[in-house]
Amino acid sequence: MIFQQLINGLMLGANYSLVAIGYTLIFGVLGLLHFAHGEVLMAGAFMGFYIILWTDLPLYITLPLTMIATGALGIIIDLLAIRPLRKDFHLAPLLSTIGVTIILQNLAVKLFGGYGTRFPDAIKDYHFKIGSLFISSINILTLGISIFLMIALYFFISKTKIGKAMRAVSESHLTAGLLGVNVDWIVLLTFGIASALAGASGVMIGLAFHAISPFIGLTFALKGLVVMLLGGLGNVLGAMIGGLILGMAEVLAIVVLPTEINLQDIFSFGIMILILIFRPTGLFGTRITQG
Amino acid sequence: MIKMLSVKGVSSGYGKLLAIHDVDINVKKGEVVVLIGANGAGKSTLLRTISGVLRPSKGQIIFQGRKINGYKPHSIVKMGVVQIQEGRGILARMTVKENLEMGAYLRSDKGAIEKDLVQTFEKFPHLKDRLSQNAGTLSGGEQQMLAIGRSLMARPQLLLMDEPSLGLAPVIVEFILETIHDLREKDEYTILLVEQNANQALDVADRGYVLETGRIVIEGKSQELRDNEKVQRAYLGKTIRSREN
Repeated sequence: MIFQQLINGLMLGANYSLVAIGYTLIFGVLGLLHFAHGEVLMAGAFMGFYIILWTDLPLYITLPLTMIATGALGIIIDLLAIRPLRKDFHLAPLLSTIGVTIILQNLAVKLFGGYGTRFPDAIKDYHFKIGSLFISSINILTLGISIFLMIALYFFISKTKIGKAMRAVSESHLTAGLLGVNVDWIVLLTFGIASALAGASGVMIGLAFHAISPFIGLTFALKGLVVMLLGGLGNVLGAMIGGLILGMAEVLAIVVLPTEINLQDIFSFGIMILILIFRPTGLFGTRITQG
Repeated sequence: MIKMLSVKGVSSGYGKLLAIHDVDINVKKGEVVVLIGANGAGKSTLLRTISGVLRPSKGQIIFQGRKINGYKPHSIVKMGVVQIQEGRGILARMTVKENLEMGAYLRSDKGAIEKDLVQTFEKFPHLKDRLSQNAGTLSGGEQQMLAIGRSLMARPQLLLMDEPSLGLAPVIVEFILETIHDLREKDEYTILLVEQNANQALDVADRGYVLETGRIVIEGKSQELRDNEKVQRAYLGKTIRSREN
């Protein structure tokens, strides 16, 4: 029972991680909390939905297509809503991303209706029985895809030239520019990558929970925020591990705690408050000493 | 000698606040030129305007016959003008090796980059022992060596150095200035140097300009500047007693 819940928790947590990585990447390069990030995930869920519904393409094509589409959405958000304001008063872009949230959510309600939609089964769900455990193949698959995406991203930012340029931009726009890095281009790319990961997560959440609505963005946006704080602002590895920890902790809380009320969220946000009080740099954060 | 950089009638600053007015300077190939001036005289503003961080509100900057004002910093780096920031601009959360690799960001000639890395370690053996360490953990002197090493990885044609001796112990200042001297003598780099430490800067420079409240007030060969009474009094810490005797 516990083991089965742990798999569910890992699957949920891996999706939190994907959202949190996006937050943390964007926070890294712009110092900006991108409030509309959850809505990008929601958009990804609906894009995946319609790609499957209209074209009947297999998941291994649907998923990359959705990632490209949400990546483009993220780039458009940066170009239209954030870049024109970036040089002004620094809260302006933040407010602008809240505006984008409102626009995307209402657009989704207008287009898809303000109720839950059943997500089509893009793949057949098998249930393995190992001993007394039931394990869903969808959970295993989404967990596998999430972890693959995270490892790929980690490799990208730690080993490749462009990944290093992203880290340089996240330390200092001025220094990166003076080293020859096209800072605006790297910021766009970061929005693209962060949004593609959110889009992938949207599709996988649709697959795993079988239902999507225009309002799923907010839940994952908030959980992503908790995970980003847990892992330390701008810390990609922290966001990966933090998401898995939060997912498992939530599922275990459901098992262990009484279930009459929704204790799961109280538990998550309780963790966030404790982190902010006792370890504001996050579980894996370190103080940065300026050289 | 070939004129490499000429700044013509440049005014620049932050927003509407101009920090330099109608500045004219020239740097010829192979020269070390120093900008001397007090705090706030506009030396760093001039360097930042050349490297594209700031846009001049007036005037032209010509590098190798090409107008470069109006380009962004990364494009100017690509043309061969590399600035070492004031305060060194080390990427503290990246390793020493990654910092050096970032210096060669715009190059794709892997073999030559490897060779340049080896040369950098010959110049700064300290760095070799610290390759996988985060650059933020280095001492101030080591960070300055890293900043210089990193800028050389770009194979710059013109090197802009903003106060390389700032905040360093005297023995390290001496090492840094020796390095600048070697860069010019052995490797034939062209350097535009900003220094508050006028005495030592004039030792390594061919020529210099004195900036006061955003304007060039004196210019000349290093020896001429040394002999200039005003420079002696204001920047070299000499009193004019010798004259009274």
